[in-house]
Amino acid sequence: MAILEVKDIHKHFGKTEVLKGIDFTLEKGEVLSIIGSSGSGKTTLLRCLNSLEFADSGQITVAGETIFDAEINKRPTEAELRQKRLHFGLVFQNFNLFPQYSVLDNVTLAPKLLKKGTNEEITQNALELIESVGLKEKIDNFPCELSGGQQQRVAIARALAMNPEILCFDEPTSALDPELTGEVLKVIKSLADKHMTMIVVTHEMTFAHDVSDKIIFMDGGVIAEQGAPSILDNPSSDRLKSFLTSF
Amino acid sequence: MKKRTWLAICAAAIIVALAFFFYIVYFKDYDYSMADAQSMEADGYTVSAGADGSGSVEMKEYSNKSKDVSGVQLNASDTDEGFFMWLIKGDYEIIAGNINNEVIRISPKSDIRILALYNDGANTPHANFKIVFAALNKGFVQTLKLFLITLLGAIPLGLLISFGSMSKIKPIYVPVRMIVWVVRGTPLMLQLLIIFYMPGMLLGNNIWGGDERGRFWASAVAFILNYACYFSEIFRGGIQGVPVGQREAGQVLGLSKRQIFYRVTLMQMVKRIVPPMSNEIITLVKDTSLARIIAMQEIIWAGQAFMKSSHGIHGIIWPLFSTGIYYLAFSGLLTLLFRRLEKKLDYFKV
Repeated sequence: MAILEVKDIHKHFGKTEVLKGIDFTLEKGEVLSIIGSSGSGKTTLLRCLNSLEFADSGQITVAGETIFDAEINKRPTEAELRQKRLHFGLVFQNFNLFPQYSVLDNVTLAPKLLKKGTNEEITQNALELIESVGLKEKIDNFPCELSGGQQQRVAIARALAMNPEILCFDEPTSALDPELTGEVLKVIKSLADKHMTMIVVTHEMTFAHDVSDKIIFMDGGVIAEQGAPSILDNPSSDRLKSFLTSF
Repeated sequence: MKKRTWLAICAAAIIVALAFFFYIVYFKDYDYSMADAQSMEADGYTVSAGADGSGSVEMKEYSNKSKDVSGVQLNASDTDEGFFMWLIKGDYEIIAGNINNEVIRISPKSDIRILALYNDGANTPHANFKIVFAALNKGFVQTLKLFLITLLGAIPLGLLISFGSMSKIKPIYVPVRMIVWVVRGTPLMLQLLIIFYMPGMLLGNNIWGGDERGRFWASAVAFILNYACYFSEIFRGGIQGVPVGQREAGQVLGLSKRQIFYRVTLMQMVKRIVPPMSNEIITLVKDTSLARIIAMQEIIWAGQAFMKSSHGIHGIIWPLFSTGIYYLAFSGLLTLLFRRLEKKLDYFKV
C-alpha cells in the first residue's frame, strides 16, 4: 500500500482554478520531485498536503488514514487538524526559523511543547539531527547570525525533529545564493540515502534527476507528465519539452 | 557627536535651566504680580461693601509707578497675618490717614476688587520651598497612581481590543472598531468630562462621589479606556507585522493556535512594539495632567493652586513651573528603562 494517495484534488482561489484534478501515489522511502513553472500549482498542492490550504474536492490518504476528504462536510477540529499535520513535515522556501530562539531551541521547541518524550531525549535527538546537517558548532547561535544555507539546514533538522512520515520541501534552495544551494542539496540527498519519504518542489533539475525516484511535471494546474527521472532526458509531452528548454 | 561634547552640552543646558528657574523664583515673583495688576486682570474675589456702606479696613498704602493701582497692606482685624494686595483706585476712598507708609483707613465705594493677594511674610521664596514641594509631592503621588493604574488596566484591555479588531466574526469586529474610532477620535479631556458627569446626568446622582477618591477612579476609567484603544492599534500592528510564515511554520510543526501565539508570535511582537509603546507611555505621563479638568488633584493642579491661594501661600507661579522638573525626571527615567529593554531584546532580529 502506498504511503500517500492523492485523488482528484481540485482547488479554487476565488474564480481561478489552481488545481484541476491531481492524482498521484507515493511509496514509502520514495523521493518525489515536483517540477513546473510558476503558477502551475506546485506550492498549492504541497500546502494542501500539509493542511495549510484545504482543497475543494478530492481525497488525501496517508498510511491508510484519510487526512482529507472533501465529501466530509464537517470541518476537523483544531486538535484533529494538528494530528493530521504531524504526518508531514514542511521546509519552507524562506526557512521561517523562529528568530528569538537559538538553533537548538528552534529544533527542540515543538517536540518539547508537544511532549514527544523527556526533555533529555528531545535535546539529545535534536543534537544528533543538528550534527547530521553539519551545524554542531552553531547550536547556540541565533538565525540572524547564520547564512541562508545554514538556516535552511536548521529548518530541515527542525522538521525532522517531529519525525514526520513524509518530509516536504517547498523550493528549498530558491532563496539561496548558488554557492549555498549545494550544502542544502547534500543534506536532502543524505536523507534520500536513508530512505526518507520526501516530496521536493524544486527548480534544480540536476538534483531532481539524480536523487528522485519519481518526477511529476505540473503545468496549468494538472499533471502534464509523470514518471521516472528519465523523463527529464526524454520528455514525451510537448509541454515538458518546452519547459526543459529553459534549463 | 563625541560623547564628551554631548555631555558638556547637556551639563550646560541643565545649568542654564537651573539659573532660569532661580531667577524666576527669586526675582520675578514681585514683578509678576505687578504686571498682573497693571493689566487689570482680576485674580481673586470681591470684598463686599457692607450693607450700610460701612465696613472699613485698616491698611497701609504703597504707591507705585502706575497711577491706576496702588498696593496696600491690609491688616485684617480678625487675623494676625499681614496681607499684601493690589487694589484699584476708585473702588475706595481714604477716610483717615495719609499715603506713604502710614496707616490709613479706607471706605469701600463699591465692591473692592482685589487683584492679587499675598501673605506678606511668606512671600519670600525660602520659606515657601518646603510647603510648595510638600504639596507638589502629594500631587505627584496622585499622578503616579493614575499612571500605574492606567498601565495596569490598559495593557490587558488593549490586547483584548486588538483581538477584537482582528476578529473575523462580524458581531465582534464591527462594535470594536466603532469603539476604537470614537475613543481615538475625541479628546481625552472630553472623555474625562463625559465619564465623570454623564452618569450623574442620567441617573440623577453622581455615582463617583464628589471626593478626591471618586475623581481619581473616574479619571482611571477614562484613561484606561482611552489608552487601551491606542495600545490596541499598536498591538494589532505588532501582531500583524509578524510574518505569516512564522505562524505556518508553527502550524506544520503541529503547534496549537495558543502555543503559536505565546511561543512564536508574542516575543516578535513585543520587540516590534517597544518603540511605539515607549512613545505612548511617555505621553501618558504628561496626559495625566488632563485629570485636573475634573478637579483631580494631580501635580499641575497642586502647582497652579499656588497662583491663587494654597497652604497659606498666594500669588506665586514658580510652583507651577517647577512641576516640569517632576515630569522631566520621570519621563527621563522611563526613557532610560525603555532603552534598556530595547538593548535586552537585541539578541535577535525581527
